[in-house]
Amino acid sequence: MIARAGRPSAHALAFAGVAILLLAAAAVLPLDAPPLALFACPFRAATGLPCPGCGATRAFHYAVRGRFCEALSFSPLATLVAAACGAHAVWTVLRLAGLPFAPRLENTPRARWVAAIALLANWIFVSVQGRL
Amino acid sequence: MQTLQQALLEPGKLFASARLDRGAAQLGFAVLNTSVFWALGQLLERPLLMGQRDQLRRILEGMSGNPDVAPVVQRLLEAQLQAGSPSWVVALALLTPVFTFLLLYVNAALTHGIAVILGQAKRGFPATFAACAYACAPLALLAVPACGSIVGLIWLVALTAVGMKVTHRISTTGAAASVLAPYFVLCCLMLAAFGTLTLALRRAVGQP
Repeated sequence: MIARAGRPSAHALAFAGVAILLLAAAAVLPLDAPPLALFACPFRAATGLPCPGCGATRAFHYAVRGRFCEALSFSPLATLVAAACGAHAVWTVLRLAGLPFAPRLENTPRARWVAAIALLANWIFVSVQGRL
Repeated sequence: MQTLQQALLEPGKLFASARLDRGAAQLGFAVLNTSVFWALGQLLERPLLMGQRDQLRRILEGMSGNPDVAPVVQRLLEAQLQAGSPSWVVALALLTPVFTFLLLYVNAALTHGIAVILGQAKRGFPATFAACAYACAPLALLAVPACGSIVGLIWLVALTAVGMKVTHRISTTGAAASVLAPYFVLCCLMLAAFGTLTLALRRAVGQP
């Protein structure tokens, strides 16, 4: 839902900074060299299943390069987060320039269930993809 | 210093009196605390552990040329060898405030997201951020060489749960669930380097 809002809060500005840093890191750091190449999932090593965060690094890497199909194949949720990072950064800049509107996330039981199901569905998807 | 002392010794009192409109000050506390004590730890560690560091470096140099070591471990060993150099220490010292800022907000966002899903976020993101920021107080133990960082991280997790309980006025169970779930998600990122290095060292000394 979009509602009227004033200038972005300190936390909104900080999140825009975080979003830019994460997207910049994904754009600059290669997947096959340190530090990203050093990470291996101990949950996967112990159980054979990916953890809920598996695939996020690669999803960000491909999303930043505009290769959304490949990004989605690694982690749909992380691809959505990458897109949300970009959208938040852009919207914050617009709000600083005077845009008087901001998205408002509703904290309702339905919204919470949708988020929980999305997390679980993403984990199942990543697990199935990992086995293929 | 008073905030640090209160966070370590009387955390309930600090979290109860935390103002939710002081986000910038809370961020400043976390960044300053982490950066200063990490730099202090680096200064203390070099002379105190120089002998052990040289021994470890010799072991790592021997292992890095071993063809039986997996490629990912080779890269980890090369990174470890580079990380001890003075130029890396200076670079890390300059980047520590940026990393702290990034990790604090990512941690707070994940914790708040899980708290929202569990219906435990009663007072909004500023309350979660206050809990996560003041919970960085135990990172003062980064100044203690060798074991300080491990103790500090465990204490940080516990203090985050206390902070969530007090700032959101929720139950202990709800606070614990909100705090521990994100670490499960991030566990592969935080523990991977330690796990692979431990495995490599064990193989190097002939243990399975």
